[in-house]
Amino acid sequence: MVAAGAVAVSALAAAPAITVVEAPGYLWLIPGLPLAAFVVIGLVTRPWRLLSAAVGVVAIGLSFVFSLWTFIAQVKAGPDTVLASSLPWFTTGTLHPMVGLQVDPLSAVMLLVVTTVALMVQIYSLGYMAGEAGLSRFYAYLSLFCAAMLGLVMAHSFVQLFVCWELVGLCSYLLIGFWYDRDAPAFAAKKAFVTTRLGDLGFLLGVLLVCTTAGSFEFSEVQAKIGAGLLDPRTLTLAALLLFCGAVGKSAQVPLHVWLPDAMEGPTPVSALIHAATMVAAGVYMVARFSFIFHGSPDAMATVAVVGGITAFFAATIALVQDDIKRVLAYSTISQLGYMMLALGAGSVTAGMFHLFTHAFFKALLFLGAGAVIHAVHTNDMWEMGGLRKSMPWTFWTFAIGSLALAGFFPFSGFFSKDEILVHVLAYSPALFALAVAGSFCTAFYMGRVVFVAFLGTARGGGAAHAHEAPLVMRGPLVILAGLSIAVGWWVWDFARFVYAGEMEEVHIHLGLAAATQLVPLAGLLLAAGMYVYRSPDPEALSNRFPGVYNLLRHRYYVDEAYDWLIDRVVMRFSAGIGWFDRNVVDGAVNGVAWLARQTGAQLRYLQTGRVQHYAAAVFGGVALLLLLARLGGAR
Amino acid sequence: MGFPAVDLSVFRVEAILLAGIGAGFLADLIRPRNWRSPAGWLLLAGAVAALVAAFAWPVPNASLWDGVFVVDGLARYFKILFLSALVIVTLASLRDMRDQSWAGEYYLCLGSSTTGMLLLSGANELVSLFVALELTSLSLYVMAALRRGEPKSQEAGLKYLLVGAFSTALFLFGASFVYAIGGSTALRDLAVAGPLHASEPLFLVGLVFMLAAVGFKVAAVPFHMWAPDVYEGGPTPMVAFASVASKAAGFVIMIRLLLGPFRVLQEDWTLLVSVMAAGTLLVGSFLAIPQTNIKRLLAYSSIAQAGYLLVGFVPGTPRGVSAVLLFLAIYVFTNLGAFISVIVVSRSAGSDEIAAFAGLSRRSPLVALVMMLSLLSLAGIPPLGGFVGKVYLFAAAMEFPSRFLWLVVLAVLLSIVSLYYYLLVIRRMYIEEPTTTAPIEPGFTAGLALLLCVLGILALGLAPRYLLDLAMGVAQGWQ
Repeated sequence: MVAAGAVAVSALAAAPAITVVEAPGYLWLIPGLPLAAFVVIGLVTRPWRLLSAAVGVVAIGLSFVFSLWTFIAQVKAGPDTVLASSLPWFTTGTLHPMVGLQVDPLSAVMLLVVTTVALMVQIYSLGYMAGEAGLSRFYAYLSLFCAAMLGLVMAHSFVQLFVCWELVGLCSYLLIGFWYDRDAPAFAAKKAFVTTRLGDLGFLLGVLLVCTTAGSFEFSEVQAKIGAGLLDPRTLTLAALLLFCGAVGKSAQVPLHVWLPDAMEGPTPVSALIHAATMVAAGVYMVARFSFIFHGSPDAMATVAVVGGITAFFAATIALVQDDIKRVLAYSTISQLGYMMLALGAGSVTAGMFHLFTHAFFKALLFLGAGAVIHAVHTNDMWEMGGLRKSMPWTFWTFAIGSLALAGFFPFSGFFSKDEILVHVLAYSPALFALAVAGSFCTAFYMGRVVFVAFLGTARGGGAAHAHEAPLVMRGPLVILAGLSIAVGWWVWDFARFVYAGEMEEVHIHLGLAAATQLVPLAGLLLAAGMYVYRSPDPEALSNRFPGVYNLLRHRYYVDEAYDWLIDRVVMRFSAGIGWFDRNVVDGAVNGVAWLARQTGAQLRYLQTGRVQHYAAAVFGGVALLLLLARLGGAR
Repeated sequence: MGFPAVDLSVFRVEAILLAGIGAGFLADLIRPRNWRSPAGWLLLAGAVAALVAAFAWPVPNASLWDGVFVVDGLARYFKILFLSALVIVTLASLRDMRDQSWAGEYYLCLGSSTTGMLLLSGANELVSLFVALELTSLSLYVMAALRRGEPKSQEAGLKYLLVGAFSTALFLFGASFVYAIGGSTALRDLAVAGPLHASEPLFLVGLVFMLAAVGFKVAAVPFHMWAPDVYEGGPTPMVAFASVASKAAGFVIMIRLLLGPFRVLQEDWTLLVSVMAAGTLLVGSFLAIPQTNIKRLLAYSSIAQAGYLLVGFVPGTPRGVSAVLLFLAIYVFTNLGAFISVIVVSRSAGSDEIAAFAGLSRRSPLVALVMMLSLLSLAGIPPLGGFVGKVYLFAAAMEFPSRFLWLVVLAVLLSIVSLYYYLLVIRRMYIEEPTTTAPIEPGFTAGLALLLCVLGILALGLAPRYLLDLAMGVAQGWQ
């Protein structure tokens, strides 16, 4: 193995033509099995909680096996092959709506990520949600989510992608609000739905723009049209920016990031699956999937990079001062999604997708670890934890592995993916590189803070003092995900030859930059150790010394407050006006149409007298009319 | 003149059905007084056997007696259609007719009407066409009046008969004009002679008269007025059968006549049919709204559906014909699904008012679901069969957007109006509170019929390809 080092990239020859191969039929089973599980749980096994859970786990387990199979088939077929399977729904004239699935390297990797994490989370939930009365409902929603997410990943057309995109959003809403009888989850669910919907509006407009100008809904045809230069650059820029709106909402990028921290009100396994590993990554996946659109517009790429860079840094700084362990992880997720966007904006689909790949495992691990802790101590506040290293050694060690991977330390997987991003960003823009490096300092600091405060020292709360290690069904997924967090980074060389857009990127090894960038998280970690283990410098003294900065971070840059003000003062007043217009003008028009239809019917009914003489008159009158028409027609 | 001997095995489908009808008729006569009539079960057996035979041993193409009767793709397609409708309607009738004193007559008429339709689908000559049509219609008139002691039923039968008599007269008049001009009653000869006489006014008059008679069969405006009264007064299973089978019979005649001898007058009949289509759509859609009786509502709904069918027929192309064939097949399952739900509900409620459907979802979730799917399919909501059917009809008319665009736009707009009154019924079933909470049981046979309808609606909506290819093949092979 080559020594660790920074990666540099050189473009190889232009990609050869894509060949499309008819995919084996089991492709349909991958989203089909979880969908079937949803139906079965909903209709049949709902009264039997454990049976429902078993149905969900078995379905996603089989889905995982088929995904692995598909992945191997894709690797064997090579990166220039697309496995596709489509069924014509019906055909008429120029309209050929197809229902189809397609797998290329990009979606093959996503399949593996989604099914692995989903399987781990569903197994883990057997323990975490054990006492839950709504367990059947939980597994039904999870199964529906998996089906929609897998359908999204394998979509072959904009329509299907959009439908699945909205479906995962719906499942996210249902699962955030799983405990709908409490106020906070119900409110958070609403907030998530509405905020992402704001981005989806742009997304839908983008889809419509692309599809109407390219004249097709299918990715391959649109790509061919754009490749042939049939769309002018300004349209491409506008389309890319509109599509990116969807990604900003779904992947919680600034300024639509506000819903993700609140989404932590949902059950922790849901946070791990939907709000860390899969659905929130859908925005990144979508931008990578449509690289053929984004790469046509440098302006759109720059927008993606800047939004990603800003998100990466700002979310990381907010994470520095959070007390709720899940919220730290939530801001960390936002920040890491920012890194992925940054890489995509800098032009490297490989780097962005590889970070998505590694991040899915270690972030799911961290959430599940946090879940195990919350399960044991019954609080989210890390200041009421402490000393858990002794009582929960499995959780501690796996959580530590996840933290090191997230902070980007060698030889954990996060090192490889983050380093590749940094190399690309350095070549793209030094300013964004500085932002990214600063973010990586914060990352190491806030993860160090969580580990030191929650697991080291002595127990500060009653729950922490009597904490017990998580049961086996919860430990197992932690250990597997920890193993993956260590191991998958070494795949980077082959990954680069497998997942790329346009031109293949070769990973080269540089020692200098890697060593330099390793020092940054190390410094962050040491500072966290100094502050939270040795109390020097004392964190409270620091926050008193710089109250302005501290309050700015505590209030998350006042973004939520600004939105509240905006909604109260501007949107609500505007809405009141619109509401008046709607009630008095639009409803008036709608009711008018209904009234007109009713009146027309009411008047016409007098034609139907019930007297057979009139019927006869109508028949012969009709014949006379037809004859007249025929004469007129003949005279033409 | 002597006809050459023919191979009568080409009538095997009809023969099997007749055997079932005959056995039922005899068994009904000789049964002990206190036994229930077995005619229904025997008719069902005959119908199922005939359907199986039509599928498993299809009759090869044939032409009998110089083309008086033919067996071609079109005939085979419609025979399967009529027999499917008969099987489903018989299944749905069994429970309803069990205690009726007139059950024997009912099944006899149902069977003979279907026999008429089977003959009609192969009739290729004006006289045999007329005889088959009359066999079909007379049986239906009798059935409409079968509910003895029920004034509305008597009224329905009488009105049906009278208005039917006008249309019969029109058909005969038209046929005699055509014979006078063309010198033959065989459609094959007339198709050859037609172009020579295209300019004869009487030929055109013949077309108009026969078109009016067909308009009566399919309940097209202005020949539709019998439909609401007959639908309201007739026994519901008979109405269900008439609403789908009689309509399909009308379209067989239309295809054979307008695309045969009258092909040469296509310029003329396109105008007539499109005007009829527009009027039919308007009247069917708007008059359904104020109805309070579910059977009257479905009567107007089926008038509107005839309008959609006419829109697809207007271009007269193979694609148009295939769209009509596909829609008719989908319509069989969709409309029967709705009518059988009505049979089940009005049996237990003792009323045909739409109000009887209030809260149906809580009294019988299954029946409410079937009714909802059927109504949504009638409205043309994807992914149900009705959606696919409408798309094809409109697409066929859109082949000539310069000429028929206005008609398609009108049809699409009126689809929205129709959604309104279908949703009114769905709202009653799902949102309103039931007046009583007593559950409604469809029973096994009617339940089976409902299941068949739902399967048809879903299968034809999700995977219409097989039937579409079939319909396309029939339409192209026939032309």
